[in-house]
Amino acid sequence: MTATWAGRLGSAGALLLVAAGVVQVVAGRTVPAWTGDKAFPVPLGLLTVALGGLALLAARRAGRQQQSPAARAVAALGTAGPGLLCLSTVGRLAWIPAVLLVAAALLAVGTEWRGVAAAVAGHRWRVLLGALGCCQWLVAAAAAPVPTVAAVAGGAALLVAAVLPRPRPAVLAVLVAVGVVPLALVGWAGVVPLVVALVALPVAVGVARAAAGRGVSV
Amino acid sequence: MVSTEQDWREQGDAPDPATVGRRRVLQALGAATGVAAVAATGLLSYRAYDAAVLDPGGGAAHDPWRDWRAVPGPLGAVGAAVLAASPHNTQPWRFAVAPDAIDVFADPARGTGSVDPFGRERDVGLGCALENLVLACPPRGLAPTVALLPDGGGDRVAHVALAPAEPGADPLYEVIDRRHTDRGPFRPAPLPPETLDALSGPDPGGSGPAVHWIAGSAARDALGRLLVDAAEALVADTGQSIDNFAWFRATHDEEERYRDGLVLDGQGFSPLELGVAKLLPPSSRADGDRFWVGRTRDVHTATAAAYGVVTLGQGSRAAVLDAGRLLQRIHLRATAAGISLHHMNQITERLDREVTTGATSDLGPRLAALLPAGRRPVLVFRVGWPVRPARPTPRRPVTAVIA
Repeated sequence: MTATWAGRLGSAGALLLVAAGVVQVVAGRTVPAWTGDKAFPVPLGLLTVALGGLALLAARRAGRQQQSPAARAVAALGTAGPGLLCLSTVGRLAWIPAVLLVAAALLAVGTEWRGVAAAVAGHRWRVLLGALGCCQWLVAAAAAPVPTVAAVAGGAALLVAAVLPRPRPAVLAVLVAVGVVPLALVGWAGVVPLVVALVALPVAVGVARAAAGRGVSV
Repeated sequence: MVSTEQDWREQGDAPDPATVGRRRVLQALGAATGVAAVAATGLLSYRAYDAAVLDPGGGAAHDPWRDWRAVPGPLGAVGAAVLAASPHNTQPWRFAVAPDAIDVFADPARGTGSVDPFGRERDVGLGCALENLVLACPPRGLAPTVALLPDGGGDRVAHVALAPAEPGADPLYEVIDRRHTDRGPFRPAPLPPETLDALSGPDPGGSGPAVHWIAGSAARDALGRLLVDAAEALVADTGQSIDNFAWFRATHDEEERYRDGLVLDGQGFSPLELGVAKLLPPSSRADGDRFWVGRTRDVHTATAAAYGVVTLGQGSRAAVLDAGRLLQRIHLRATAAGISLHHMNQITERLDREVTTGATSDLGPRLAALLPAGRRPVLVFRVGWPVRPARPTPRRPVTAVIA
């Protein structure tokens, strides 16, 4: 029952988010008080539309009845994440969609929260590595062309490294190196790429150790 | 996930409970540290996104630096004019464009208040824009004829008549988009007198604008101390401090919205310093004042190879506009020669302020002692060999300055 409502609320919030993005694209400069008075309404509106689409996919997953705790966690993240992110892209227009999407995420977790929490804790190093990949993408959103390419590719590499079921250490090392080194080289002056690289190293070691089943507790 | 404890139990070699407890505490600490580190990285990443740390000099606010050269006709000349120097990057200009003429107007809304009570710096900036505009006409097949203050006064400061001509170009035209104010450190290498003379250009003589170079170590040190004292006096004057700070654009959003003013990119930071400065929260007026006085003492005056003072023999407004044209030419010549230039207006700003408030200080006599008798200072700048290239600052597009 809660999953059904998670799907419905999430879908409604996601569709409202897409509509908010369209408004930002079409009329962002006309109604700045409602759209956050952004300097770049068109790209931010398009980003919001894309995030709304992502939230819609996640909401459909959240509406399914029989799911593993890990799948529930992914669905919850996929609905709440875009809702919260869009608070900084479309101003007040994101308030209602954000509330609906966060509510959907809570319902998706529902009474299974212990299992979801355990699933997240069990994959904590992968979650952290994936979060670092998202950091790269966030940085890419306002970077010059060359750092953008490095950050987008790097973020993708980190996310792949985070979701591979049982990566060999060499594969993991290559993915993490591809994920952080190019951006650190071209964007070192921005400090953040260096920080991501430094943090990614121990996190990747955690992923490798967890994958090898050594020294890791559930 | 496989538990270490379980493995040991299966092997019949279980460690003692205290060892397992310590191991679990260490694992929990490691996980907590990882979460905290990634969370902090996420916050920094958001700051990097919000401040566009990885795109210095990018964005629409800097498009005029990239787009001006390809625009033909009078609009292209205006595109060059908006790249000129102006006080606090206020860009105090408007233009009326016709096929055969361009009128240059002062924009009274873009003043700096108590920092420039007589509009002297504003008129210098308008002269700079006029010089760029004139330089950009010949490459577009236009021959300019300038009439200053065609109405005798008021906001229309110049009428530039345009006639068809064979295309040509002054070498200074080629460096218009490379000219930036350099507030960074200069290399400790002297500028020979003949190099400074080459920056001055031909001396028009008479009571018009002229540049007086201060390169000897004693005079240079004296002017350096004067500049620091003037900076301290300016920040101690609440009115001037507030009017100064009003033109500082602290965030990337402000840069893109206003496309003018003083920005972090223009402070002469090293790449790493600039990255860190953009990640930090915006500074307060008091912090900004302290930073400026410190940089004036430790960087600007400490590394200046020489100072230039543009002076006038008489005080007409047309002469001030001409002084601006001379300043722009000097800056362009310096750019072409690989020399950096940094406008340092605090002494003349304090002198003007003293006139309006009736206050007195020793700044005027100390500066006069460094200049030829009978010449009035209009503006001061420092020159030197750059440590690193200066960065462009935001500019309003041509469409925003056409009347």
